[in-house]
Amino acid sequence: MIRHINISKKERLPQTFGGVQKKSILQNILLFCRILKQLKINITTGRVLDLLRSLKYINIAKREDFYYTFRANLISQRNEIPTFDQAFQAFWRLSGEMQSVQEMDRDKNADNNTSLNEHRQRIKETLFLDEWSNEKTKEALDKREVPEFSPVETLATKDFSDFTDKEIERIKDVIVQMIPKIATKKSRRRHLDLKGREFDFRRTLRMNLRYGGEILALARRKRRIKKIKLITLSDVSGSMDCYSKFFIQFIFMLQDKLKGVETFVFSTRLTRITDLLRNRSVNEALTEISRVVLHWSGGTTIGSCLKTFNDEFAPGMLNKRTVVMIISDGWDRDNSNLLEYQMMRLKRNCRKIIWLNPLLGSPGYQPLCRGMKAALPYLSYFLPLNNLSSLMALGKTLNSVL
Amino acid sequence: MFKSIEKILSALKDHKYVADRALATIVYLAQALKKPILLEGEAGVGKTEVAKVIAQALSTKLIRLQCYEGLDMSTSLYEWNYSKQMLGIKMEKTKGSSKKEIENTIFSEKYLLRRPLLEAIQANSPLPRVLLIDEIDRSDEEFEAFLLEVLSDFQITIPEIGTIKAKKRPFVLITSNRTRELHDALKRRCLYHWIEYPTFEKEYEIVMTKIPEIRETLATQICNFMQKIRQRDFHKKPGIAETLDWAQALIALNKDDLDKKTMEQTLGCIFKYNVDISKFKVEFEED
Repeated sequence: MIRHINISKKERLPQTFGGVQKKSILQNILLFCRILKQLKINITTGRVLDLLRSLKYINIAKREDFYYTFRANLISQRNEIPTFDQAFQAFWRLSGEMQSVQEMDRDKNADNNTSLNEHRQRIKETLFLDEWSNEKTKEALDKREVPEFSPVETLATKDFSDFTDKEIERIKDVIVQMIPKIATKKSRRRHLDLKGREFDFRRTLRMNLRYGGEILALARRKRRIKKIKLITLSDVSGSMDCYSKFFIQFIFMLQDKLKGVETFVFSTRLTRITDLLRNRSVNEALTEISRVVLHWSGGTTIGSCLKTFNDEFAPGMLNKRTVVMIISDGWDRDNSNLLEYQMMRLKRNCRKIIWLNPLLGSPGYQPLCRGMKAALPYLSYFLPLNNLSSLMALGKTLNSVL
Repeated sequence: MFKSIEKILSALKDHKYVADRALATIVYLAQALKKPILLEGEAGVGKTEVAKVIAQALSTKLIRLQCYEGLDMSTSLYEWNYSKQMLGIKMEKTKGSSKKEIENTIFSEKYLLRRPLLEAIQANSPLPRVLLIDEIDRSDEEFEAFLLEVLSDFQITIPEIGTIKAKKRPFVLITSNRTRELHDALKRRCLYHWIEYPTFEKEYEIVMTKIPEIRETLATQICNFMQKIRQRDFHKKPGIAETLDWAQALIALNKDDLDKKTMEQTLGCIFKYNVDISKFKVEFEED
């Protein structure tokens, strides 16, 4: 999605050029880079310089080469490409003559080469920012989503003081106790440790040089501890309302204390809230979340939300060491085939899936609804989460899993 | 060295690699600016292949560093041959050498195990080598930081020997499968290229180039089929490698035409996951 910006009158270029001078091209390039930067593409001075150097090696009259040179230097991620393309098409609109210009000699001293300047004068380049800036900005403003407060929306409207202070404290304590034990996992990297299990050959040899090659002292090393990733997907639809108090607090603390935690909420749509939870108090975070996350009805579409996760977020953050935790009651409006397929995809790419279902705490509950049933085979752990004791049990599980 | 983008395109074609102008442009720029290329793309589109072909086209050696989690300096750059050193110490001792002499002996190049990065730096030929750092997203952040250092100066210091600087910077290609985000600093260092799944025309050309004995009608059918498959949502979409495998399989079975039965028998060439095969059977019942 392009975030649109207003280009002030001052920055707008003259509509046509008779002949193009080198200086104007440079100005245009810099302007284009500035625009990209405002579109949240990571442009640095080094890159712009490299771009300018690159342009000397290609025939800038050839639009294809021109385009790819820009792209190679300024882009570093696949998902930046659509934004870049749109901006490029709009900005560098060239007239037909460009295509028929003959090949330029590739000359490193192009700046001083008079024939090159002549060539450039022969090129009729029409550069203009079209209605692009004004029209599309208007479009974007119209489309911008305004959060609505529906009666079903529960997070912000429910008074958080319902949570008594004592309750909050108890929960916090439990969580804080749980956390250090979680997320310490050994990686393959090694560092020096006197009591480690492996021998560190390099150090051993050096230490023993003075003994003339006999090994008298042994240096050991052990595997370094590396933090593991946890991804939380929480159902915040109407049906989960009563339990949100517990797990929102829980997730908030989890993300706060642990490194490598990503948090999402979903009802009919999936939203990443990791950044919203940072550097805020719980109340502030909740307000932010309800401002950004939209609920249209009380229902949930777990399947399509999982699909969104698998398609958009999983490639960047899921690996075989990640543990995924889903908090939901399993009531799904989508068809269960979709949910099942997405669960399968998810399971293949991560280490374990934990499903926390508050309904499990009620006696006599059986996972009969289609959504829950479809997901069951893919779960490593299926646990309740409706009170403190279930929270503590969860802690123990996370300990063993992470 | 390549003299122009067109020369690159024809050189790649001579070595049976069908490239588009975008790739040739970026190879040319990488050579001119001496920047590494960061190649991203889906599995099986030819990322690793590019490096091999460039090395062949430049008549130079390909040095390949396959990344994995836990890859570090001793497995990527150099390591002392400890066992040989220990024997060496013993031998020197019996000769009665002094401590200094022993040190000089065992810390010499003979006892140094050269890993790919050091090979690339120490290359002593008139032509720069091609260094392929494959699947860098499988390594960890520490390795990325280390790699960044090496890539910036192409100079390393081995405490016991001294500083070694590359006489000729190798041509560097880094590939990634996008399983995790790479560090910004590394991305900035490189020219970026995303290799998309091929269009019908490109894939057809690839098949005809690599398997000249195939009948055109069969090739057309195969490519059409692949295009359709990739539009659907499979767990692991097949890449060009799978297309070529499948074409070879069909030829080996002496099939000139693609019929439903043959397709079902050879699905294993295209899909590597059972779910995908089931999904295919369900969705393509009408075909």
